[in-house]
Amino acid sequence: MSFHRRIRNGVALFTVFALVALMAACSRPKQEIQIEFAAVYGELPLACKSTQGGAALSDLRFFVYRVEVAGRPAELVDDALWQNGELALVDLEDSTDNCVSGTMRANNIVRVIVDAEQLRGLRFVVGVPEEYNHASPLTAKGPLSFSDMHWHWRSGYKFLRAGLRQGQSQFWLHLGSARCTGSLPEPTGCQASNRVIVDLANFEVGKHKVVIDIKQLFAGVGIAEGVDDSCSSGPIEAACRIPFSRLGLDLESGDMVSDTAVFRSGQR
Amino acid sequence: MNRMRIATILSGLGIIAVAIASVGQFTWLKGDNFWTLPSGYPQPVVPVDNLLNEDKIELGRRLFYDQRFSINGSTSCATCHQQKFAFTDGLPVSVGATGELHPRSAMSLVNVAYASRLTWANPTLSQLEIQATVPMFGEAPIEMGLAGKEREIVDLIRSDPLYRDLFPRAFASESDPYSVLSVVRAIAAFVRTIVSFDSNYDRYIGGDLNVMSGSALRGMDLFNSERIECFHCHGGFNFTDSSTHADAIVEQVGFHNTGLYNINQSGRYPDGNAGLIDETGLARDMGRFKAPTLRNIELTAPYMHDGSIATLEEVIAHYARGGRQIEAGPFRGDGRVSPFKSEFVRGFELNAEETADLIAFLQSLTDHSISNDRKFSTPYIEGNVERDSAN
Repeated sequence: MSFHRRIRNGVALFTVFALVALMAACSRPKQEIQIEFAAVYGELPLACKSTQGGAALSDLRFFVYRVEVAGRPAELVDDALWQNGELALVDLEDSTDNCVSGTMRANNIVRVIVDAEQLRGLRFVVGVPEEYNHASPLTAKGPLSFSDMHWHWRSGYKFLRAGLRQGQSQFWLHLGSARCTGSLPEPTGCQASNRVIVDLANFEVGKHKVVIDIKQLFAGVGIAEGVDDSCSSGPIEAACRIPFSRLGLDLESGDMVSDTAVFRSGQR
Repeated sequence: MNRMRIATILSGLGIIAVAIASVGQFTWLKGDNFWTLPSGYPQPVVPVDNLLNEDKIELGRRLFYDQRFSINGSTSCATCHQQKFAFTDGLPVSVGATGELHPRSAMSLVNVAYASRLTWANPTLSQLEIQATVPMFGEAPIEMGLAGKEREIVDLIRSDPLYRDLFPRAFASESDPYSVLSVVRAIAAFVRTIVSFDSNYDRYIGGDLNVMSGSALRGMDLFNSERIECFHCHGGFNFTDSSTHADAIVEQVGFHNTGLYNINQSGRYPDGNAGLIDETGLARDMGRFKAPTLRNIELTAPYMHDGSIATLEEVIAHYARGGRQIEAGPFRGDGRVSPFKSEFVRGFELNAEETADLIAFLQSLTDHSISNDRKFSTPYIEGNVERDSAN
C-alpha cells in the first residue's frame, strides 16, 4: 500500500466516524427547558410577606453555573439580563414587605438548552466562575451588573444572599469566596472558594422544581429566640458556622464536606 | 518659591510623559502633571484606563461633595472625609447615611494615590475605583446605602444639567459617559489629586533649614531612632510602609498588631473588628491593621482603627508602654503581652520634653494647603451649585 493510499484510507475512515458521530448528535435534538426555583420554610412556601408563624423571607438571590442535566453539560440561554451563556442569577424576592433591600423584578427560572432525552438528574454550582468573580464589577454586563451582588471588599461577588425575618429579629447570610490574596482585579487566589455544589440525582425536569429550604439554612441560628445576627463568610465569623454547615461547606477551607441540606427537589 | 518653581517647570513640560511602569500585575502610566511634587519625590500611580484630565477632576470634586449620592440625600463622600480634618471626620467611628455606626474610623485621603492597599485591613483592595464601590454599595455596614440603586445613579447624572455637561467632557472617548463606572472613575481622579508635600518637614528636606523648630528636629531624631522605632512602620516619603509609587519595583504592604487589645490575655481583638484575620482566617493576622500615613496626623484625631485613642500624647504613651492595658470591661487585658504583637512595639522610656519634641515633629508633617486649598473644597454652598468656580 502506497503512502498516499494509506492517507486516503485514513481520511475516508475518519469521515465515516465523523458522519456517525454527527448522526448520533442529530438523533438527540436540542431543546430548551426551564428549571424552576422556589423558597420554602420546611414544607411550606416562603415569601417576602410574613406567613408561617411570622417567618418571612427578607432576601434570596444567588448565581448558578456549570448546570448539568442528566449528567451532561447544559448550555445557558443568553438573555442579556438574568443569564449569560455561563451563569444565571436566580432572584426569589420582589422587594415587597420584608424584602426591603430587594429588586422589584424577580426571576425564578433558569433556561438551559439540553440534548438529552432522559431529563433526570440535575447538578449545578452556586457561585460565580473564577474568571468573572474578581473582574471589575463596574464593567460587568447582565446578571453580574447588579450592584447588590457586588462585594469587592471581600474580593468578588456575593454568590448568594439570603435573609429570614421573624417578628423583630432577623438573620442574613452573604456567601462568597474568602481568604483571597494578591490584588484586585487579578488576585492570586482565594483559599476559601465557598461555592456550593448541588447534586439532585432524582430531579426530573417537568415534574420537579428546586426548592431552597430557608428553615434548614438558618435552623439553630437563634432567630426564633429573638437574636439578630448575620454572616459575611468571614473565616472566623462564629455566626457563619451553622449556615455554612447546612450548605455543606467547611468555613475554614471553603470546600464542600457534606451534601447540602438547603437545596432539594420538590414537586412542581 | 521652591514649590512655584517646580510647578512652573512641570507646566512648562506641559504634556503627559509616556513612561510606563509595571507594579505588580498592573501597568500604570506615570507623569500626569496634576500635582506639585518637590524635586526627587516619586510620582503617584494612575491606572492607564483612568488618566486624569481637568474636567474629570472637577467632576470628581462635584460628585465627592454631592449628598444626592446616598439613599436619603444625607451623605456624600465628604461627610466622612472632611477637608478640615485632612479628609477624616473627627469621630471615633464613622456614621452611615442611615445612622449605622461603622466599626472603624475614617481614613485620611491625603496621598491615597500612593497607598498600596486601601482601607484599614484589606489584603486585596488596591484600586481606588473599586474601593469607591465599598462605601457606595456596601451593606454591612451601610455607608451611602446605594446597593441596587445603580439605575437611580445613572438617571441622576443624565438629568442634572451640570452633570449632563461634565460627564461627556470628562469621558470624551466613552460611547456612553453616563455610567456608575464613570462616577467612580471621576471620584478616584479627584481623590488622587489630594497630594501633600508642602509641610514644614518637606520644606526642611527641600533646603529651608530654618522652618523646623529645635524641638521638632529633636523629635525627628527620636522618630528615626532604634530606641523609639516609629520609622519601621511609618517610614519612607509617605510615613507608612504600605506605600507604592509609579517607579516602585516592589509593592510594599504592611499590617501590624500594636498591642491595642489582648482580650483576656488571649491575644484577641473585639469580634468583627480584629483586623487582617477577619479576611485571611490566619491566627498570625489577629489585630493586624495597616499603618496609616502620618502626614497631617495632627488633624485626624481620634486615632487608631477604631478611634479608641483621643490624642497624640496618648498614642505615644500607648507605644511607650509597648501595648495598651484595659483594666475592666469586656475587652480587659494587657496588650503589652499579646502573643501577636509586632516586634517593633517593644516599649520605650520617653520623658515629657521628649514627648513634646516628638509631637512637634508630627505637627511638622501638617500641610495646611491640604486643609485650605480651594481646589479640594466643596463646590456647593447651601445646596446651590457655585458655578463660577467650575473651572
